[in-house]
Amino acid sequence: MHKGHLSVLALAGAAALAVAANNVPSYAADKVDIAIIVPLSGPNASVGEQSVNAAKLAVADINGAGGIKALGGAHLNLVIADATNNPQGAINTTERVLSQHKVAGALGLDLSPLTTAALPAFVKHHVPVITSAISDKLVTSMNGGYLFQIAPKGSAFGNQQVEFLKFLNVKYSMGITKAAILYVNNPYGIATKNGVEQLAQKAGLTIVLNSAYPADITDASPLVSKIEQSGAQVLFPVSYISDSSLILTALRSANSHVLVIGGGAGFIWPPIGQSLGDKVNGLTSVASWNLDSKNVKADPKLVDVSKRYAKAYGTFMPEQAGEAYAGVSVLAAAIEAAKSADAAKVRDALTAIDLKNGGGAMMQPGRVAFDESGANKYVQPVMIQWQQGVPHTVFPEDVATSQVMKP
Amino acid sequence: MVAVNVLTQAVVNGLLIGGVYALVAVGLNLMFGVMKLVNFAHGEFLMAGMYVSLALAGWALPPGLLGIYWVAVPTMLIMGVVGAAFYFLLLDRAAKFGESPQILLTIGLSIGAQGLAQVLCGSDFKLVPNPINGAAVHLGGIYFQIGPAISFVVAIGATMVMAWVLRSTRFGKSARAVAENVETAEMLGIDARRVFMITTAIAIGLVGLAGALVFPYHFTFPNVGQNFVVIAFLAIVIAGLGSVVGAVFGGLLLGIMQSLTAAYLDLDLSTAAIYVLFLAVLLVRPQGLFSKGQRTL
Repeated sequence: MHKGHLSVLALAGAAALAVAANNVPSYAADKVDIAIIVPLSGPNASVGEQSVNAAKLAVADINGAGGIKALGGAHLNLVIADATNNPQGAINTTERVLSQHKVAGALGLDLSPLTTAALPAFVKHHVPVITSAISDKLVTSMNGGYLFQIAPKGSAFGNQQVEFLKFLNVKYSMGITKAAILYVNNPYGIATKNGVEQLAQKAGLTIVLNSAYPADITDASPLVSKIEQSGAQVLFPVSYISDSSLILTALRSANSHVLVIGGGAGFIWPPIGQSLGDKVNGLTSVASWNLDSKNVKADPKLVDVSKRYAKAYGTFMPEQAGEAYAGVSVLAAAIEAAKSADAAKVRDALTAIDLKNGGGAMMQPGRVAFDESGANKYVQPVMIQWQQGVPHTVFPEDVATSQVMKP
Repeated sequence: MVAVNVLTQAVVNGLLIGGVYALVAVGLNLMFGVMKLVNFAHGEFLMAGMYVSLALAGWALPPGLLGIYWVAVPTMLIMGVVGAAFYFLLLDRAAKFGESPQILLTIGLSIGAQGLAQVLCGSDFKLVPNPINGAAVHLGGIYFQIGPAISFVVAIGATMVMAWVLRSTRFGKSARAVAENVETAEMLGIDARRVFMITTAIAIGLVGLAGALVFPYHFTFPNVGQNFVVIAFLAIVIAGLGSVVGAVFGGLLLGIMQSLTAAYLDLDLSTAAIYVLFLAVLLVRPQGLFSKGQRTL
């Protein structure tokens, strides 16, 4: 080839590179991968499915609105992986996903035991993870700095349950002084129980029963017998869906009049309402998110999200879905702020984020920022009551949109 | 609650849930006794029975407290046919390669069936609203949950029928002969494969019946079988492998053990207690509490 031709080609190449460098943001990409690693098999698969459904909805909304503008409109791409139902499976899946995909961040793993197990993998790969798992032990200075807990802490659940009981005691002169705490023996159960235990004692309640029970029980009659023997007037159960149903059924069989203030999870998911029919109305529980809290109702776009979720998936939008929608939105906002899909930069952006609108405002009270341990600084759990077959937010008053019925 | 009531209620609770364990364990032990096969997919057949019952109840749900139980017989028959197909399509073919492939096949089927159920039926927890769920009879300060009570009565009844079938019918005699020695039974003109097929159909039919009895008060989901079948396995080992009547006693014993531990020791130890019993039996009487050291169909 003639020397002159080579020079022209080199100049053209250099010019093309210069144009590309000017037009494309610091991290050029047509798409930005984010992972969602949640249980999609085993007894908690429905939890993971709720998260994935809402995450897909959030990704579609963000991409439909022009994608990540700081990255030239790059679309988010969801890498979906099954965390299985056991800690080792969660570790293996997380390692595989983070090794095979260059993700900007992740959502996961919904359940405290799985999130605890997989956390070192996120730290090792320098990938931030937004979680709806609530264990207090996840948000400490020892967590490596890559975990961001969008949901309220487990101990805050207990606080809200006790505050709600105090509110009921005053409002309806119920005179409740004796409490029972039953919790599934895992990190979620223990974290929530710890909160209830401390606050109940401070509130002057006598704890007459405080007991763990093994997961995956087949019969709750022994639990109910214990409650009846204890003379408790109020029960704070912390259970997954199958146990919750068995406990409520056994209480009804025993003609028990104990007031149940559920510890979230199984007491607020759609199947409990579907299985109990009209009998679910009046049941109260704490929740890390609810579809009709004030911050959701204040934004027609967020109300529309919950309506579209219901239309697409045939149930009201449950807490896990609300948190996943908010989680994807917060992650997208962090990618925008970082102007990069580099996971370490996204992690830095998450530490500085302070969201007051958009999908992140799904989380009550409509504002999301994380403290140095990764805990969501503003979020507080809400108290819901089933009314007309749907959970309504009834407490605390600053986010409640419905009046509580006497349980 | 006075002390006597606490004890009585604990025993009643244990007996009622033990009835469910027993019904699951009977089919498991029947297959082991006749075919020398540990069916690791037994829990998934329970799950399948619950889904079949749900589908039938969704199609028609007669009014009344007991209306939901119309699904029991059709579910048992459907699952019996599934059992026969399970034998002909899978077990019979695997048998040509020995016992190990059969066992591995049931392990694979167990995992595959859970995945298939999730694809076909979704991972949601399903329980159709019905009057049995939470209904109870109260007698002298003790309550009997109607759903588990019906399961208990049916478990006892089904076992008595099975015991009679094995003792007094032509099939029962053939099954006992095959259980004793397949080659000798075949030399005497007994069609062992036919006996295996009927045995599998009965065992799967029985666990399908258990599903139909449990689904009115327990959530149905792809992994539900595991919650029951692990205890059923413990029950048959404690009672004695191969003993149909022993399986019932094993189920009831474990139910009572769980309930008494919860009442008098600690709720959280109720599952651990049955494993302690399991280990103790293996150490002291490895052939099982109700076995004479040989298979006793």
